[in-house]
Amino acid sequence: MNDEIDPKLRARLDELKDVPARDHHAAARGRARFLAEAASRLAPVSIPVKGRHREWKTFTVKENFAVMKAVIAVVIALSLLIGGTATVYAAQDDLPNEPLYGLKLFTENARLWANTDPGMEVELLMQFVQVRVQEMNAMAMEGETPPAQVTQRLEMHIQQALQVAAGMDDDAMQGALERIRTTLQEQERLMTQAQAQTDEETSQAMTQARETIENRIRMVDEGVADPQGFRNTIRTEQELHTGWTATPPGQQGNGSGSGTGTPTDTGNGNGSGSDGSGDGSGSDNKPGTPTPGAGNGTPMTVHTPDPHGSGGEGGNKP
Amino acid sequence: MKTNVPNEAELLQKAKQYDRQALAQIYDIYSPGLYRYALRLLGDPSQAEDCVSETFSRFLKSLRVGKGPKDYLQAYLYRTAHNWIADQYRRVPIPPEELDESHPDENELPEEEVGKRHRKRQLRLALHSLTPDQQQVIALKYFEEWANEDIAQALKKPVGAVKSLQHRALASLQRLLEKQDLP
Repeated sequence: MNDEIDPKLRARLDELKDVPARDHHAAARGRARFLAEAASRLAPVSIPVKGRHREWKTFTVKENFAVMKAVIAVVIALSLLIGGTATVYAAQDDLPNEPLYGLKLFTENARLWANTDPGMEVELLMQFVQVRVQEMNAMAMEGETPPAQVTQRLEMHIQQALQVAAGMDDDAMQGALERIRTTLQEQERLMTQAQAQTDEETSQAMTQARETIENRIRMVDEGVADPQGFRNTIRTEQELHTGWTATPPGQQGNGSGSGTGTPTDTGNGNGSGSDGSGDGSGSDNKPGTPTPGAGNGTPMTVHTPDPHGSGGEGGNKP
Repeated sequence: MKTNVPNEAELLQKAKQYDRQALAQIYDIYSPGLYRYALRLLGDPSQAEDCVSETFSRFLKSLRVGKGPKDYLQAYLYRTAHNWIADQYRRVPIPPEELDESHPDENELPEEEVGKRHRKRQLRLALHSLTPDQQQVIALKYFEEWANEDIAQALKKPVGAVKSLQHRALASLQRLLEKQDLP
């Protein structure tokens, strides 16, 4: 047996060799999708070996914040497990006008807070964007106007995702922006469909949310084309809204803030409102994402709410 | 010709440690070739993009569960892409060729263009009548110009088996095309 081939057959096969050039945009989209998927799919599931403790040690909150976070996340998970998995599960379908909605937001906050991977954070935030839009659409279908807090929370999720993306390197940022864009486009489409069947008052509330989404899609488009410009825009927005420049990782936050929202009954009364505010002091490891006990002092438009019970969803609580 | 990547093993190792840079590099090195490979066999650019996308997605899934290739990354990716193409053909038959408004060669008459596309479709149909292993041998040998040793890695078969597959594939292909050419 050898590699000889009939010349006519060879010529026929050669006809398929010549293919048109790949579309650059399609190729770039494919690459961005792959990197976004990599960012969300490949989040390590365990602490790297070098980070594991081989012996008992004393540690401070400041030095081992990630460890503390994991421990607290386990405590929260266990307390939810013991306290009523069924209740938590049941809460996931609740709308803002239903009794367990506060618990639903609390579990969302806990999931965000326990997460340490930026790719996964964007993924979670996009899931929450979908949940908020589902809530708005469901309420609109029932003839009720979605409360302003839902729209605010939707804006907060998007803004926070953009901030996380802006903190990534170029490749990861492209992937994250692509993920954000896909989600926002789909949610905008779903809202448009639902809006067509609503009354005028509800329609106005939904228009506001849709405009926010459209505005953010434009921002994402600009970010894909000009990553550095996007980072600058996000930084400027943060500075405008907070009067505060992101504290470099490892530096302590300071000051104390005050919230305008009604504290939740799951909270500890630290009083972060729907307009957002940090409280307390501690180490701040993610600019724009205050962690429990690590406030930045000044009111912020966007933050990760404290799962230990920051307020801010006040009007909707049981 | 098989892409020669001197640091393939190192890249694969880094990819297994979720190194974003390495994953991006792997995509940049192999996706253009995989796209061309898929396009030759499928004839449709959007399906070829889907094939590339699904191939890399399956690669990520396998890394996530601690599987995936231990070595020969390129062979693994082409094998995955080919499995997807074979599945695709089982689900959706080859669509008829359509002549769009802008045919690529201005000097070519539209009827010549139609004839060329028809011949390509016939060839793809003939190729897809072969067994999946035979198809892959022909595609890697004559479209990608891989050496038999590299094809053997992609198919996870001995070189002798690859030669045998190639021999039978060419004979079948010749027969099928002659049958198609009959009036």
